[in-house]
Amino acid sequence: MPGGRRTSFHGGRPNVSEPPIDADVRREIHAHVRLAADDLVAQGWTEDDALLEARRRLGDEREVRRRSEREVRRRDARIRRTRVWEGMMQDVRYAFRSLSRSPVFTLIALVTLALGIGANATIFSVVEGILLRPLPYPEADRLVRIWEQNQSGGTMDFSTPSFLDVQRDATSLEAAAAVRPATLTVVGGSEPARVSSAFVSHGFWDVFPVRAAEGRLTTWDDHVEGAPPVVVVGEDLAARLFGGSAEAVGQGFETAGVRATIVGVVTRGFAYPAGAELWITREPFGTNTSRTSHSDDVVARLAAAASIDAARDEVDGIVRRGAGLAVDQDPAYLPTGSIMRSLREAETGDVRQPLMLLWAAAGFVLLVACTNLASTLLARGTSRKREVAVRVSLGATRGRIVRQLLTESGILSLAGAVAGVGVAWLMLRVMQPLGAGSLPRLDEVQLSGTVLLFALGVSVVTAIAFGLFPALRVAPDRTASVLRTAQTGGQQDMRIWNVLISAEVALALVLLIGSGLMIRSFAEITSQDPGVDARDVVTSPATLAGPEYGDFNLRVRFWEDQVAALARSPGVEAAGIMTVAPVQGFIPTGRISIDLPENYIDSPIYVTASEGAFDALDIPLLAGRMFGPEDHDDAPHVVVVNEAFVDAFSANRDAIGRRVTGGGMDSFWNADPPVFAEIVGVVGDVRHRSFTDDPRPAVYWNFRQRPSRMGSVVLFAEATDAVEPISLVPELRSTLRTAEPDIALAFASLQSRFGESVRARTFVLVVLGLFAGLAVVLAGVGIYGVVSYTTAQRTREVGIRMALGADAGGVRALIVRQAMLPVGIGLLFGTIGSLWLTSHIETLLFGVSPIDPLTFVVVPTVLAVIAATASLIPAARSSRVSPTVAIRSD
Amino acid sequence: MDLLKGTLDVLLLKTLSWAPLHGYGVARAIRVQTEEALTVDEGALYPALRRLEGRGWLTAEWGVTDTGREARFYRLTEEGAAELERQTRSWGRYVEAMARVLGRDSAPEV
Repeated sequence: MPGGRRTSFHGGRPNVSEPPIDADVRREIHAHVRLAADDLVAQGWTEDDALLEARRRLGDEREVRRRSEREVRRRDARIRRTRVWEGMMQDVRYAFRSLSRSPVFTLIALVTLALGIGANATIFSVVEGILLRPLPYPEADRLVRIWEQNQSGGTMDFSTPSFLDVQRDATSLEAAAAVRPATLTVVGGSEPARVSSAFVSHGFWDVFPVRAAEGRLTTWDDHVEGAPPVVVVGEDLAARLFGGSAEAVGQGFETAGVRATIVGVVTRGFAYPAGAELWITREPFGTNTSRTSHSDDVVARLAAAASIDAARDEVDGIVRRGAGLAVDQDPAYLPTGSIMRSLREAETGDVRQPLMLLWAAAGFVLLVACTNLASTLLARGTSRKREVAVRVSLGATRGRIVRQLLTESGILSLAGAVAGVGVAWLMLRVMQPLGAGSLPRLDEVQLSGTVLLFALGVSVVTAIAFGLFPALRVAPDRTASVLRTAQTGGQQDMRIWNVLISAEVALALVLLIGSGLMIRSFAEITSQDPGVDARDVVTSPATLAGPEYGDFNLRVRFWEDQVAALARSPGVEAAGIMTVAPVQGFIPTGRISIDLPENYIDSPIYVTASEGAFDALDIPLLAGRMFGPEDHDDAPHVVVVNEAFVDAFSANRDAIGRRVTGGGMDSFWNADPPVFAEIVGVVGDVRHRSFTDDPRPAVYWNFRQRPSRMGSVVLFAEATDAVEPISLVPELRSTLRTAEPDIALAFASLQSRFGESVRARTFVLVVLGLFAGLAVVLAGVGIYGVVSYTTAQRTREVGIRMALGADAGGVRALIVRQAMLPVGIGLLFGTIGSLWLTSHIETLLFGVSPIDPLTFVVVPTVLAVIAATASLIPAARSSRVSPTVAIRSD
Repeated sequence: MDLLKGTLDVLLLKTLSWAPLHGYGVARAIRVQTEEALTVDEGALYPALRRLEGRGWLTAEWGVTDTGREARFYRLTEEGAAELERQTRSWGRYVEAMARVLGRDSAPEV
């Protein structure tokens, strides 16, 4: 028995064929009674009395026997446990020896498994961290997000009166709060800073009952109109701007055009909405009483006993009731009900599908890896048939051999899992910076105990599922002749290998096609014309925070001067400002009336701009003229519109000369009669929202005539041809800082800003591409391995063929042809599978059909070429063998 | 006098260190050795022997006594001898400690 060591068990019964325990014990007790009686007889007792007395002294004989037998059985159990353990250890030692005898096989199997398990552990970490783990707030499972439902059934933000109804009346909610995220400029700390902030209503700290590390949280008294605005800040911000939590409390600073006081500091780790570091009471800024103006994000905490369904029904009823009261309002802007989701779902809903896609992809990688492992184990097993046959002839049972082989694959899988966790750790290190900002909570992701358990589970399943089959194939039936088993089975193995190759190719193809479609989508998206020329442009948000800028004239004068100064700077071709940037996500829209108040189009983009911005961004003027300094605030109001606006409203009619007003957004519209502005020019379309969002109608107002919007703007400066745009930044910054020391800026090239807008997609794409690449490499290695092995088995046949006159080319062609048959079948099934699966990722695609012909032709072709190459290498090697050597082999 | 709890094992091992014996012989030897001061509960004897055998401290085989009766003879193994030595030492320390506490008043001066 190879590796067998006759283990001696001290004191144990030498073998199991000893007499049954109870008979042995009974015999010993009888012997005792006999001996004791003999003594008594010697002392003069009669034989009968002596036996009785001996039994009496012994006590309850049945009890003595029971206890003795128990001792023996305990010992036997201990011995059996030791034997099983020793057997296992023996299997493990044998497996280690056997694995270390073929290091190449072991290494390939290990790397394969490590990559497969690592990919899965990585994605599982991300899925667990983002989708499964509760949000990091107290009793987070009771947190919900609520929206009003718009006319088309979608979500819209709450109107303030409607939110107040819900907050006051919903008994199924313990607390509710309105939140409006904003980036505020804080002036008064160590330096002017732009801070992720939120205007929060009363109730916010009841929804999120966190503790104040210093000072206090805001209370009802702070959340009333007329109260001085107060803020709670995060620990990090307190340290950064005010030198510590204790120091920060009581500090005042200027923000949002007011002077606010810090009343408390919350511990690091609380950041809702995502990234927020400053929470300011919103009631002092006034309360919007319109039920058609929707700008409140509402979060709530369910009452302890309430179900989310009950709460949903109740809130829905309250919102409908409120809408019913608003009889004199435009019904187009009233809610038709409400929508409620768990906060976790609301926070992570967007990434659920891409993450699931990546998880599925990781699963495919693992399947390819396992297929590889199975075929490698099988090949190895087949080449060990002789060894197995020897062991069988020496008395090893089939179960023993299967167990032995399973131990080998088990050790491989466990080692693979350990290495896989290492791979996952590395991949997370790479992924976290890559996906930062595009996936919520990615920074919280880590290799948790759950992930380790997951990896372990995967490895156990892998070991059994993919080790058992080759083990059963290799271990002969007791009935089968050892000799026969050792020599036949080639044809059958060939079929199995073909199936494995087909499976591998099919799986890899599905992954490749999936990533192919994603890559094509990505190319489509980034090739969309944003409508501006981003090259040579640097940009920065700029906010005038000081209270003195409540004077609109001051804002206009500041920007009028600064835009001119920037445009004069050396190396600057053109400079200007706009209230929105291209491809920036959220954009304000409003209703615009044309010529008559009742003659309107809904939701064009409402932009305020200086003419220099159009030059800097190379937005072409298509007709009419651009506004300029002559259109000062006392002059007749003028606007330019984009092509989409002309198409939407006045197709086939001349837009220039018509008069617009509105947006519902400024005082000019509310004036009686409304102040109209004349359209003086038409400019090219810009994709303000995203690359994938078609250009929308837009109206560009002259900043001199709409100063109310100029508190927070985006600055654009175009560099001249000879100048690297980012090199302009110090000059631009110092120009602006000289004019206004408290201005907050954050410069970047416009192109890098564009990159950020597609970062989530980039992330999915890179990871998916990585997985697809892995699958292809693994499949290639698998095909190479199987063809190498089967060709080596056929060395003799090849020799005969060549001896009979076949040339090397013919032999090569034969081998490649035979290998390509299962590859072809795999490609066929993979294509069918892809057609079915890609229909599920249709929503993730852009500008490309899920059955995109190009992808479905190119990708299988590439894979076929890779497969052919992988089989050609061993084929070429085999055809070089000299016939005489070949025939003699084996 | 009945045996103190936990003393049976060491007594059995000690007894068997002189010669292989059957169960009845062990009981008789202890009785004689202690001049009848200690009596082994015969009902507890056999489970204890089996337990010590299970621990590997004794081996056993069937044999025939001088009087021609069959009996299961126990023999101390090497592990058993080592165990006996260990237990003897720990008993010695125990007795010494007990004597230090109790002996001051009751034990005769040496």
